Amino acid sequence: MKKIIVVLLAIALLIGFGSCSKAATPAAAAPAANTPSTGTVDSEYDPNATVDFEMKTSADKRVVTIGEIDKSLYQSPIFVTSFGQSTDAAMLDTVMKRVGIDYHYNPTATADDIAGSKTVIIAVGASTKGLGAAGISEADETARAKAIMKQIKADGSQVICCHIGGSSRRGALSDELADMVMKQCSYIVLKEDANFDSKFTDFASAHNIPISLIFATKDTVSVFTDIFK
Amino acid sequence: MNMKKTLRLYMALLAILICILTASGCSKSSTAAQQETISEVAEVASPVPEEKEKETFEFEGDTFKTGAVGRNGAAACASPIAAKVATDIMAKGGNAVDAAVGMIYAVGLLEPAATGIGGAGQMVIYLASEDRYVNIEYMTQAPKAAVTGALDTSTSENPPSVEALAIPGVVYGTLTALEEYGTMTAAEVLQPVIDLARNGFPVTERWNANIEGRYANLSAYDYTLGLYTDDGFLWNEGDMITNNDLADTLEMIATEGIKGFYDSDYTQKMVDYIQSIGGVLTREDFAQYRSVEREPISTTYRGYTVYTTTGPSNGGAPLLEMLNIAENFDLASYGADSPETVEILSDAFALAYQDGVAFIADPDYYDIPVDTMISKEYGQERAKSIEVGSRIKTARAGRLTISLSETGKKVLSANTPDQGGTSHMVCADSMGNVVSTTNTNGINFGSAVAVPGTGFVFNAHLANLNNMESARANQMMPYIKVRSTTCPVIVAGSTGKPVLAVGSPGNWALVSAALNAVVNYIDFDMNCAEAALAPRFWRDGISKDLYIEARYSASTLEALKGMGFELMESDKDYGAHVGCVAAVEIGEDGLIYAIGDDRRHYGASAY
Repeated sequence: MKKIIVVLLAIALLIGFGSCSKAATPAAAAPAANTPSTGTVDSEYDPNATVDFEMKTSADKRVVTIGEIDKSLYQSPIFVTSFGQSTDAAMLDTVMKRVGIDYHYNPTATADDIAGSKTVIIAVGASTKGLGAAGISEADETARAKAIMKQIKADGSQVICCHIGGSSRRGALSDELADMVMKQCSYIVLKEDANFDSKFTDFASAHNIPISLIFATKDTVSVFTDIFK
Repeated sequence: MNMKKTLRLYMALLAILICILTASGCSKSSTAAQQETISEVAEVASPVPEEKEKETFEFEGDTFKTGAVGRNGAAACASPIAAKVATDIMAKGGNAVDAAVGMIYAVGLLEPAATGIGGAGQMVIYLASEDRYVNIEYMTQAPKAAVTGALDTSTSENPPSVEALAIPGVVYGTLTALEEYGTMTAAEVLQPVIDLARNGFPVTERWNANIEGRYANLSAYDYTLGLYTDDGFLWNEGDMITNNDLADTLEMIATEGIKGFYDSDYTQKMVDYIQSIGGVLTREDFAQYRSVEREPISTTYRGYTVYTTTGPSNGGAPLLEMLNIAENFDLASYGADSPETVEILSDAFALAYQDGVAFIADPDYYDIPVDTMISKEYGQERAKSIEVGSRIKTARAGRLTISLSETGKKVLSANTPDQGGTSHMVCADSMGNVVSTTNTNGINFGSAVAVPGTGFVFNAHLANLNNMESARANQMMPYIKVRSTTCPVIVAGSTGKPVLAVGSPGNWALVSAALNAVVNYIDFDMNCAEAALAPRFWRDGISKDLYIEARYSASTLEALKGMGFELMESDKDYGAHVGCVAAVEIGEDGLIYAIGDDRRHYGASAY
């Protein structure tokens, strides 16, 4: 009987403290996802609603690499460009500055611009706003990407596919561009929440391409520091 | 079981009940399901008083569950968390003005791209005890150095010119509103925002989208980039982040008030930094800043009275002109989803837009023809140029005049050298007070200039002034208030008391969003949720470009194309490009309904 009472007490205490600690965080000020739509309630908000698959990375384990990376492949000159004109390319530019190596950056580079580069790092991810701001149509961006991949093939350059914008960079055009890059890349860096359907890890596994899963965009810095320094 | 054991068991069960009931007390935001469970337990535990069951109300049209209904108070704005700040303030005894001020600062924390203490705003208030409508204008103001042509006020570069910074008005305007019409102290209304800033708040999809949209601008300043990103990179959605620098600033404002922000060592710190990077704002500029209490302008519309802001808002008078024009047509007979309604309203918009651009500026510097512009006669005259079934191809400004006021002449004669980011908020309390307020940084994240240690960005509002000698209106000159389309609206029913408060961000789209919402509410008998979420459109000024949502019927869209409109972004069911409405409706049933438009993930709260 004593044991049952102790267990019941423990459960009750857990319920009690659990609810208290939730209420103490600002997130608790936002109502839970299953709040009914009617009544004296606040609007729904669930900041954690986007990811519902089991992630390998976490706030404590920020990078998980599957496969062996041959760092010797990635030689200078290094060129960084964008496929899709999202802000991810600008973030990649920031990453490279933090890593502290020489590189060329041009999000709208042409095939001629990247000719001769030994390593081409491509930030993959389409943004309607970004394309609009750059004055580039989806068709033109796809054509530019195809031309660059052709040039890379001709030069025998190494390609790193960087998909660092997360799940918001999944969509028809983003996926089309990612497929184009992955076919020719020797390494993939992926913000893991974009891998909700295992698209990237399945491709990497099927083609024996090393892939680094990152928890947040900023983890690209440690990944590239490890590769280039 | 012996007596001792039985007693021990009862004691244990009592302890369990106490633990569970303690949990119910801690968790304010428990779900309805949890509350039901707790209330069932409370019935068993007779010594503990039963918690009053929450009422639930139907809210037709609340498609995205971004609305809320209550008897005592309600609020809607860009963030459900900020709306909750407002209703919490009202629940503690504050009135709608107290709540609105708390909400303005909370939105400044949670949606810093759109608004904040480096920006400006307009507030329309209904004071129930005086049965009076008030407009507090706290738009940004040009500095003394803002002589026509002397500054580079361009915002087209990355980042915007640092010379485009105008003197911010939010602190002055909000603290004045609090002092004049609130019941609480600045410390009381700011404390929940300070707590949020220190304890943390969740990163949203919109937070990241705003950062992405202005990443290049933010990257120009290390401190600014660090303020809103994870060491230069996007946070993960749901990450809890803080803004301790803003919390420090808010604590300073809470204790030192207007003087603390506009004429103190803190001011000097802001000025020193701004000047060190090439800006022209001086301490004298800050010290002379004043918000202005103005008479709201109004017109009647099919038995209702619509109150909004006069100059320097060039959205308010045009909105009333649009309604006066629209009143000449029987929109209800055409229906909301009809090419006729869309064409009439978009033509009315184009005509009034021209007048808004040509004839509105700071009323202290110009004699502006607002009375004529919002008169019924002028509306009738303008309506004559609308031909149903054929869009207006060339909308021209009316035959009105604008001239420099005596102050304006004096200032100009002494003229010696010396996407949008906007957010709308509404709230209403049980005493009948209503606030509708639009606040703005101009463009998202304004100038991107944040003084290290302060936790907020400055506007780049001087870009809104005409920087040429030949300007007919709204010319750059020292200390002129900067023009903006911000036009918070309160609609009064036949008794003269408010029935709807509404507004939107979105530059000129905000005027069109307010027009659509008011017409939906009045002509098409929609409630505030339906009026806010119904498909709508925005005509790009006088052009043929019509931004319109895909939810209009195919026949309406085809007919509009047939009239020569170029349909823009018409593949989206809900587009942020048509503005984003926040509204409260004071129902005849004694309830207050609040709706936050899901187009930009707005939210609401009620109690």
